[in-house]
Amino acid sequence: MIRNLDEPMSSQNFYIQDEGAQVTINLYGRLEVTSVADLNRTIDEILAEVPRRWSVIVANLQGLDLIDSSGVSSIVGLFKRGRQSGAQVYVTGARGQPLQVLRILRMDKVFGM
Amino acid sequence: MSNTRVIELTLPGHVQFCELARRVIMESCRLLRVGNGAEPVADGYRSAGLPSERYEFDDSFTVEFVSAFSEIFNNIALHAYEGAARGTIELSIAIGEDSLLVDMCDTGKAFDIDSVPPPGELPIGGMGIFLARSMLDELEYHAGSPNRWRLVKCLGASERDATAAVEESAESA
Repeated sequence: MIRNLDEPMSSQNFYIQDEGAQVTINLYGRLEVTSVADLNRTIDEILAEVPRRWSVIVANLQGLDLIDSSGVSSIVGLFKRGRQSGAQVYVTGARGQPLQVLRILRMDKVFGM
Repeated sequence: MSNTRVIELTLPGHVQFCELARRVIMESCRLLRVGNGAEPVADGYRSAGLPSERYEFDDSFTVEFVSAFSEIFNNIALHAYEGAARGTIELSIAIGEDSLLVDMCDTGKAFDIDSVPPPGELPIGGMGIFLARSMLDELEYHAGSPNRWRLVKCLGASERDATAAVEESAESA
């Protein structure tokens, strides 16, 4: 059962915005092996509500300073599983180190950055 | 005469200590770029005005070395020590005139680095070694007792020019 997303939810690295048919995951700070567990749990909860509640999922990386391969795995998992569930999934706003990592992995083009 | 400065550090082989090691690596990058005590044009990273856990990198050398180092540190913690902090990671950081060299030793489980395939499109795993290789000039791994890693990165021409300009400015001041 998903947690109450009608109210802003926060954790150390992300907060969720419920905007009707769209849900936005705003990431900030560091997303790495020590901090991905909460995000992965929330991604599972969001995907369980697709497409009944949400048809568009946005991962906003604007506030993200640092990402490692574990963090990239979470984003890729969201992207793949969200699309398989029938949602439109957008990964946006990467800058600095996270953008550089995504470029090396050639994901910037996949995500349309 | 070599101006290489060496920092040695031993840390528990657990992911929770990656952040501490990373801060030392970031400072080593800054020292490499600054040279002999001259103030840099821009710090390798900034912390003023940002929460302590925030990063704001200003140069690609630091971004790439810190990213690569984090992948290897966590690879040791998660795979060699299997997440159980059963050993230590010995670090030797050599800050040369135009390069940074980090040796890492662990006594955990060894693996065949050549058997790690490059990631395909939208991979879920297997990215760490690829990222580290892509961001460093050299990445060596020798399985044994201990397992030994060597990470090397040289300053690029533009970064060397920037450092030289800072040093010239300091000398003429």
